[in-house]
Amino acid sequence: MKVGFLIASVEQGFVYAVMALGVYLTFRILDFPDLTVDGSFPLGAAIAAKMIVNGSSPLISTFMPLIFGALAGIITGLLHTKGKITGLLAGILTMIALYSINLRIMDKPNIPLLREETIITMVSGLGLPKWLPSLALFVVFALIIKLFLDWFLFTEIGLAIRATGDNPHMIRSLGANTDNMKILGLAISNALVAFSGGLVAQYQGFADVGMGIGMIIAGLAAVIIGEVVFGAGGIKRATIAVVGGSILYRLAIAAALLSGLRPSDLKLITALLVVFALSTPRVKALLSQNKTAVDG
Amino acid sequence: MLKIQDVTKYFNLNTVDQKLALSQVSIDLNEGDFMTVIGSNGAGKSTLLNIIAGVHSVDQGAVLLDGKNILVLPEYRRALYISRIFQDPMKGTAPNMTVEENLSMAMARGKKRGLRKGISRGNREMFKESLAQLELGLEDRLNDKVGLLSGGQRQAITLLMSTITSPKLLLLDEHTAALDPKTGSKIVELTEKIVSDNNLTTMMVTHNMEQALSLGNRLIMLHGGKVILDLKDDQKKRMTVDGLLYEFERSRGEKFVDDRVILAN
Ligand SMILES: Nc1ncnc2c1ncn2[C@@H]1O[C@H](COP(=O)(O)OP(=O)(O)O)[C@@H](O)[C@H]1O
Ligand SMILES: [Mg+2]
Repeated sequence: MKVGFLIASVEQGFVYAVMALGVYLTFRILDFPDLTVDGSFPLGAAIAAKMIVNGSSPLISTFMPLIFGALAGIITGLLHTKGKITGLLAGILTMIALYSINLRIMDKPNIPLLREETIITMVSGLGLPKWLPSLALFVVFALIIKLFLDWFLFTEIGLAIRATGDNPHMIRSLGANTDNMKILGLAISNALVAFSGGLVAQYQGFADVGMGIGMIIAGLAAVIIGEVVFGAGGIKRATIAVVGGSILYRLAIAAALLSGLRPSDLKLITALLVVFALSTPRVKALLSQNKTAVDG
Repeated sequence: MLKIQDVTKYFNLNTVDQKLALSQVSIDLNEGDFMTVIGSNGAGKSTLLNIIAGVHSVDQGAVLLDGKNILVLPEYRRALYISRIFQDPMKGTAPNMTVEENLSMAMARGKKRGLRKGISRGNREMFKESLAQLELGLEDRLNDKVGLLSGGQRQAITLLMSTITSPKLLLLDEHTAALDPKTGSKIVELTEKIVSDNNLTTMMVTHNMEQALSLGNRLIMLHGGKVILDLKDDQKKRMTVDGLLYEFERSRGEKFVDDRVILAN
């Protein structure tokens, strides 16, 4: 039972790492707190689930959310850059709009996938031991996306996106259109988030219109825990730290549940975790300041 | 090659805060000219450079580069032709990216960016050589984040980034003012060397009159948004600091007279 919990947490760690890598791209690379995530995650779930119950191939149903997640990101990007709406509000607007859109896609608040053919049952059909298929699948997806980001963020466009988050003034003076860089970053980020949503729906056996609530905070938790525990030197280090952070976060959640907390307490735990982790660097800085003061 | 014709710029036009920042400014730069720009605080020097670079629009007038009207191009499109450096050494570089990444982005100035590798191996040797010429020990720090470097080192890298692709026009806005005097004169030295090695057409704002006189072949003085002095070659060579101060006082006097006339009405 404990082992089951452990495997489930690690599986979840990898599948949500895909979402967390998206959050890393906006939050850390673009310096853009993008709340679209709470809408684009269930968007991906809704699309994948609806397509599967309508009889589409699990493969296409799994990858279709990438496209629509990207569109959601583009809309937030356009609201922000062309509509001159602050990033925070632009994300909230898209998120709220997506709530209605997701319900339209699903026709009802919940789509069960229990006896449907999903990408997980597809892989299970290959005759692997029972515990392996989801884990293997999610490890592969998380690592492919990590490697994709490691490559992309060192291309010419990738450097320009990073500079847009780091010093927009400077990269504009070097001839990059920072508006387009933001839109592109938001598109990729939300594509990953929606993709993760589609996978999670197939993994847990249903899509639910409320499954995105607090997703941005879960993503942030993974990013920040990863940074605190594994450090955030370069990009390659940072992306693996996000994956590690996502696993640790899910383990922490499992531990909280095992210790008797209710599932409904988890959002509070997550919020506290993020507050704690966000203040940790500050705590560290304070400690070292005191130390130099004492030394000096 | 750079023609500024009758440029007038207001800030907050038609509001109570309306401010005339440039008034019918006309300047003509030839290929290879190095113009220093002086004037008191608020004279409009930064505004002038910002208009050329595309940060601000104009209310009247034209700016031509090689005969082409560049006022229709957004800032990021002018980057292909125009490089600039600011007073704040933090502004010209991305602190969380490495020296090499910063220089690589400068190599791509104004070009279409694609999915090619952002850092090419071939450039690395060239970066090392250019950095070695700065004599700041930066050639061994290609993989360090720029944020770890001192203000002077960052400004030197900015200088390299601005000139590595030989832009048509180099705009410098008090780019040594925030540095300590020793580092500042080192950067000025480097500026002079790089500008003359590459024969770059340059406009350099400075508040140091001696510097303004010793550098370059052109000098203009701005006051209250107007060009009150425009010196070329020999005229510039003959000019002294006292002469500049005299011109400055004279323009203030005239302004004073203007004010009295207004008050009298
Ligand atoms: N963005 C702005 N908005 C309003 N006023 C401005 C702005 N930028 C500059 N000004 C005003 O325009 C005048 C010229 O400023 P500036 O070009 O920065 O002078 P300087 O010669 O010191 O560089 C000043 O009076 C300044 O207050
Ligand atoms: Mg100024």
